[in-house]
Amino acid sequence: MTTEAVADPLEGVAHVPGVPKPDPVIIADGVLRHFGGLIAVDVEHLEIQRGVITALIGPNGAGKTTFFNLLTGFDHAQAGTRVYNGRELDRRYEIPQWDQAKSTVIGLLGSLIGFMLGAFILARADDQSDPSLTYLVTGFVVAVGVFLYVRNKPGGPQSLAVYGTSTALGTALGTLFAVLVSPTSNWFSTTMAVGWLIGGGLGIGFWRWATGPLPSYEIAQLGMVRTFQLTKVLARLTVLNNMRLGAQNQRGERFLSALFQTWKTQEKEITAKADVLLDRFLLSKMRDEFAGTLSGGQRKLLEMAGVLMTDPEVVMLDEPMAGVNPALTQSLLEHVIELPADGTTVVFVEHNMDVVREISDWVVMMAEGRIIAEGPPSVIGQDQRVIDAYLGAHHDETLEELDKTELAEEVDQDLDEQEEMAEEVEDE
Amino acid sequence: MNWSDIISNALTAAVALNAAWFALAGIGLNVHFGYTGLLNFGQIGFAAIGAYGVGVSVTYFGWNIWIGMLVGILMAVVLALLLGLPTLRLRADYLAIVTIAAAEIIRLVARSVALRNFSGGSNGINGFSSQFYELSPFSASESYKIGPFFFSSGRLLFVTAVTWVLVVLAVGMVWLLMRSPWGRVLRSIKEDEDAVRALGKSAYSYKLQSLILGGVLGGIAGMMFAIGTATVQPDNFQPPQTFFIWAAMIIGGVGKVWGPVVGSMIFWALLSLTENILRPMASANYSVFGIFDFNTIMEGVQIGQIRFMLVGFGLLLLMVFRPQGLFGDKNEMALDDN
Repeated sequence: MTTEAVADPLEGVAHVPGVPKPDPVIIADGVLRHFGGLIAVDVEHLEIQRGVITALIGPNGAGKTTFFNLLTGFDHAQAGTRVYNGRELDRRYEIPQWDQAKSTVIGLLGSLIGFMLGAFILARADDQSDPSLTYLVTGFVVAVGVFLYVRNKPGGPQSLAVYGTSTALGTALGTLFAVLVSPTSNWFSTTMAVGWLIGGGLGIGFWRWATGPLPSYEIAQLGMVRTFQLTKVLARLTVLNNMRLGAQNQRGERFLSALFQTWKTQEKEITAKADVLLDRFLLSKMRDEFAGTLSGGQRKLLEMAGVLMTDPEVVMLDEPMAGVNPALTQSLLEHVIELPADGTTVVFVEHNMDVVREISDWVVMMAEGRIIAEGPPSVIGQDQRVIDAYLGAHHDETLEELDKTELAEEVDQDLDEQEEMAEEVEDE
Repeated sequence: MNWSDIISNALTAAVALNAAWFALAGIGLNVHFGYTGLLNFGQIGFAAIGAYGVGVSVTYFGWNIWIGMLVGILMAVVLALLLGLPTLRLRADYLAIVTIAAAEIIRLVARSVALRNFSGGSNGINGFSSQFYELSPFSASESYKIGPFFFSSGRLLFVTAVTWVLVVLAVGMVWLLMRSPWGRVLRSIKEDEDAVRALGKSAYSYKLQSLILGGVLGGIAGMMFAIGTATVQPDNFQPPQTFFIWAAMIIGGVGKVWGPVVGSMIFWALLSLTENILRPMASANYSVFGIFDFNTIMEGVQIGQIRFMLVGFGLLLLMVFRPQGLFGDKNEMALDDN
């Protein structure tokens, strides 16, 4: 807040990009997202202070929305880590740090045991002939091949161990399946192969789940909730139902509770909460109308009220004022300013510098995917790089004043830099 | 032409077994498409897997028919998982492609020569339904006439009645579910998945649940069809059937609880009506006002196709004049998505 009521938590923080904050709620480190050769986001380090309003500004194509998508899990970065509230969002569980020798032995053993056990059972089950040696050799060759393939991948040997063990499990299942279902013993090989595939698939799926990034909805459940640049309201649901959808941990959203109608009391509480928020956001009159009948500005209000229904810790607003008329802008701004009072953190993308100056405590400036400046709005507004990036480097000079050779050099330099970046990316 | 017979036949068709199992499969499809927005073009595959589940359980494994029905339901769940797990993370079209292919794969595998002992090949499976009819209170050899409705045997009356009871139960279940918060999430997913994810709900998990629920209803429908005809014929489960179920659902109204039920009654009544009106025209020297003989332009064997053309034309008119179906809400449909 711009008032001087309490001590500013960001006082004394240096005005340089990537500066550490006293109490960061979000820490992004080395986040890189490129589409082919085009680098959309390349954030070396950014910390977002808890309980204040941070504005993310920058010219069109600066990567603000992409960065938003990366933070909230709606897009995935090629590199980097994100920490929210001390929790890493890029892997659900830490991969155990095994040393090279240990992981090689365990990985190779796991896969060997898996495949050879599978091959052995397969050989025993197939009583047509005695091809056990063939199966064992096949199992061995496949295991070594898979091992060589994943050896140098991150977490590769461990995942191989998981794959091997789950293949063994899958083969056991396959045998059971084979004995139970196969019309004749001719079918054993086929059902067994199905067991291998299912077991291996489940194993890899489980591993990817356990070590992969948290999906967007889980990040939202943790309390980081976003809105969209193109407002998303559910047009064919009533305004009230749009609000109710935001409530977390609803009993009635589980199949059996829904069927046996054990959600009615909780629904009443949710409705009461929704009504309070609708009142605050001046939408009570539209309560029972389809959300599709709302105006653009009202939709922005509804989307934001829906986000508040989730009891968020961090509210991420992507251009909340875009397309909203001035009267509504003022009421939207008031809602945003109120949020930090109860400890909520706000991050928002905005183009209108007046809005940014009015409500933000801290401003982060992006250009060409990088963070080029950070600081309080009063300082950022004066920053030459910000003015350059927003208005163009030579906005206050007339064409005649410009030195053409100097300008050409500048452009060349820019192009070189871009090429280098593209090459770096391709090298990876 | 005997109009009272024609009307009576049409009314009978509206409540016959075909209409009943179509209604059940249509309710499932409505859960998929009408509420969740899933494009399932292989509902007949779920019906087939249900039918084969019960048929194979009884004839090949020699199990009790009730266990067989449980197996059929379980197989429908497995099929839904198999189709849904890999595709529901992707765009909606992938599910459409996979379901239409899977339905054909099931039919072709079941009718393959290699599996003749198991699923009966192209002859299908017979003789598994007697246990079901032991419960019938009606006489198997008698025919029944109830008002305008006619049932050729007590068995047919019994299985039809049971299927309609199942339809009513399914309607009740879907009604309860769709007005609950669970249904609210499904309807929201149909509108905008990302908005649902942004509010902390796993769209993937809900889509999977919806696919399973609708698939199981499709499986039960196929089961009742198989029991009612006392046979599982692979070629009863051809792709066009899926689209007839779609047509029935659209006639009634997509996303409305009673839509598929009324839709399939109308669909089958229309087919019967057109058939019974066209047939005497084609066979006898029947002319309109003595100036035009119908048998000069069509023969009896063509009637099957012509009635579908007429029903298709009717659907076309419906789409032009009442795109929301009979039960739909035009205002709701007119809302834009942005």
